[in-house]
Amino acid sequence: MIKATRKLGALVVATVAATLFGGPVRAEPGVTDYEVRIGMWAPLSGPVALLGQSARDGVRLWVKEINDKGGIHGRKINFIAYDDAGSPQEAQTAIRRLIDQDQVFMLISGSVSGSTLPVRQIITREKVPFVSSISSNINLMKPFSRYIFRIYANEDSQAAGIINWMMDREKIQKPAIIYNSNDYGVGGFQIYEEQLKNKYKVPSVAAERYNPGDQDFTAQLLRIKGANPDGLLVYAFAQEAGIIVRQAKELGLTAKLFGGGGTSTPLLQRGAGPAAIGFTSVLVVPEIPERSDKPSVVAYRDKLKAALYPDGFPPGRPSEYDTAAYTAAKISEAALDKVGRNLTREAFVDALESMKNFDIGMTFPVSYSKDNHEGTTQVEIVKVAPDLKWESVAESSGK
Amino acid sequence: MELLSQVLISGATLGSLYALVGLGFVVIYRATKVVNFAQGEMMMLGAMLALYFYSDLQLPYFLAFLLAIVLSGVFGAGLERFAYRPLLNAPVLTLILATVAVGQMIRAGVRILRGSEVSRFPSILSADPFLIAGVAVTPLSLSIVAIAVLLVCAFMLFFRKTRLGKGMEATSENREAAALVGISVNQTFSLVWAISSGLAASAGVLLAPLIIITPEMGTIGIKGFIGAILGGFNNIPGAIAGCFLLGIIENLGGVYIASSMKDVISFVVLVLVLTVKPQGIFGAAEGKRA
Repeated sequence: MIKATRKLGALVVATVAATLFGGPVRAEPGVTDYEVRIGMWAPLSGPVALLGQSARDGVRLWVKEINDKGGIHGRKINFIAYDDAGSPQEAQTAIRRLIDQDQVFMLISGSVSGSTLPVRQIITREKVPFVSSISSNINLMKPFSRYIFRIYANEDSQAAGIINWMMDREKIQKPAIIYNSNDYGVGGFQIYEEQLKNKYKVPSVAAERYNPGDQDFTAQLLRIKGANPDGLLVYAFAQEAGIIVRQAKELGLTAKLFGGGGTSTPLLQRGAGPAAIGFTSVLVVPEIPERSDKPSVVAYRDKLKAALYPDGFPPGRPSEYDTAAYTAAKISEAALDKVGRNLTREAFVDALESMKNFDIGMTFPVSYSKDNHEGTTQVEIVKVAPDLKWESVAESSGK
Repeated sequence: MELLSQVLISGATLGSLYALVGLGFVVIYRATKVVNFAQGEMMMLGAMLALYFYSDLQLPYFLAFLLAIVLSGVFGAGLERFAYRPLLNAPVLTLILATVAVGQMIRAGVRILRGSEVSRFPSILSADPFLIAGVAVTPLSLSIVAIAVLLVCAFMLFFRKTRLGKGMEATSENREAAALVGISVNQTFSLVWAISSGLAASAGVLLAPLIIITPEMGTIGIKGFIGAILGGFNNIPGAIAGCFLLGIIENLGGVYIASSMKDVISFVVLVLVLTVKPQGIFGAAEGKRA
């Protein structure tokens, strides 16, 4: 009896306290008078660590800049990044920690698609704004979420970009495709089929698939060789594409080689060697972060070097995940700035939705609206130069 | 016809590498009744070491090759001494699990030391194809098959003709009896692990220019195991033939049936063969031992 009374008493006190101090003006998670907490989960270790480390550094650099100049509307940024090693399970844990424990105001960058899609529901349910700068999977936006924004072209736009280049500019007559049997590869294959059928009215002479983790593609390539294509689209990740490109050459396949967005990383050349020369692919940013001489990118490289890598960059850095994450941070900054002192997640989302042609010279201009959170559909066509580095195909921008 | 020849040649190239790994599986199994699931990782280690010596330290290719094999062999012997020998009286299953654990440790260790980045082993010979009767072959793949076949032959001679090899054979037949006639069982086991690690490493070095080097490349090693089972796990020449056969079946099935099904096809063949002849195509029925 006494126990029950005490319980009731505690409840009354709690209710009164809640009405007095909390009530309708409940404080926004992750926002205090002096700071805004921003969270990130990404692969910082494991096979795709390059992506996560790039993104983390891009955001870190921005955080340093903001905090050095005193924050945004008097609030400094408190940036928390967790490693998910590219694993969906660890991504779940990381997201839970960020939302429940650290109570971040917003999320940035995110992980590879496999570790981002499984947590998109939690993010939407908890109404945490999320500016994504790694995953380009179309299902990130399906169904549409008011809280999720993307910084660069999704996979469909990337696939369409390279296929259009292949057919319109390289005048391929007998196209063929080799693709990964996972979501990514099949997604690319569907766009390929659809574009050939509806737009170009050209049949595909061969379509071969392989399984994730395969290391030998002889069988597929021999079948393709038998169909005698003049252009082959390699819809694969860069590691596998590297082997495919080399084996294609070793088997005497002479078709021009093209790749989806997954192939435009330095990993391709590391796997393929000189066989990669001339390989044409699609990049989600207009400037190649490692070698672009555009002032905005040069400035980024210099700042990154001074702040984090005084002894030189690790291989493959800075990558497009650097500049994409940095742009994601900058557009968040613009929205935070626009909202002002009365910062809420809802107001922040509204401010993001009002962004039009946001451009800091590192990605394609980003625009959002109430019903479209895909920042852009533009892609850049890139090619492996004789020195084995990626170079922009000049006239491709803006298509 | 050209396509068929091409398929056979590509299949044999792959098969020769499976054979090197597969031989390692069989050698350990015959002596210790353990299936060493770290074989693929030893292969990866060999490739990594060779890459380090050749690319980072700029040693001549053959020296790098040799060093990688010898070091992997020493490492294999060390594993036997410190990881497996203490378990010698445990059930075989425990030992097999220990090899799985060791494999994971090697993989994680390499990831920590070298990172997960992709590397390409610069090929010594040209990878530009030339045509023989319409079939594209590269000097690279020809040399790989040649070296693999040479290595396999050398090891078979070793087992048949040398004292050490015969000692290994005797130990695998009957451990106690071998000990009674003065063969050091411990020494033999060290040697067995060293040799099979060296074999795996050599497969790794040869395979490296054909695929790419990552800490995960060891997964291809399991094909050597399957090939060996297909041919006959207790029969060395049979196991080797099985590995070649597996490489060829994979490519035949991949080209003539469906490329995405090539693993399925090879497993179906494996299951069929084992149903009809559980000891493998060329394997002799395993007799009861005294």
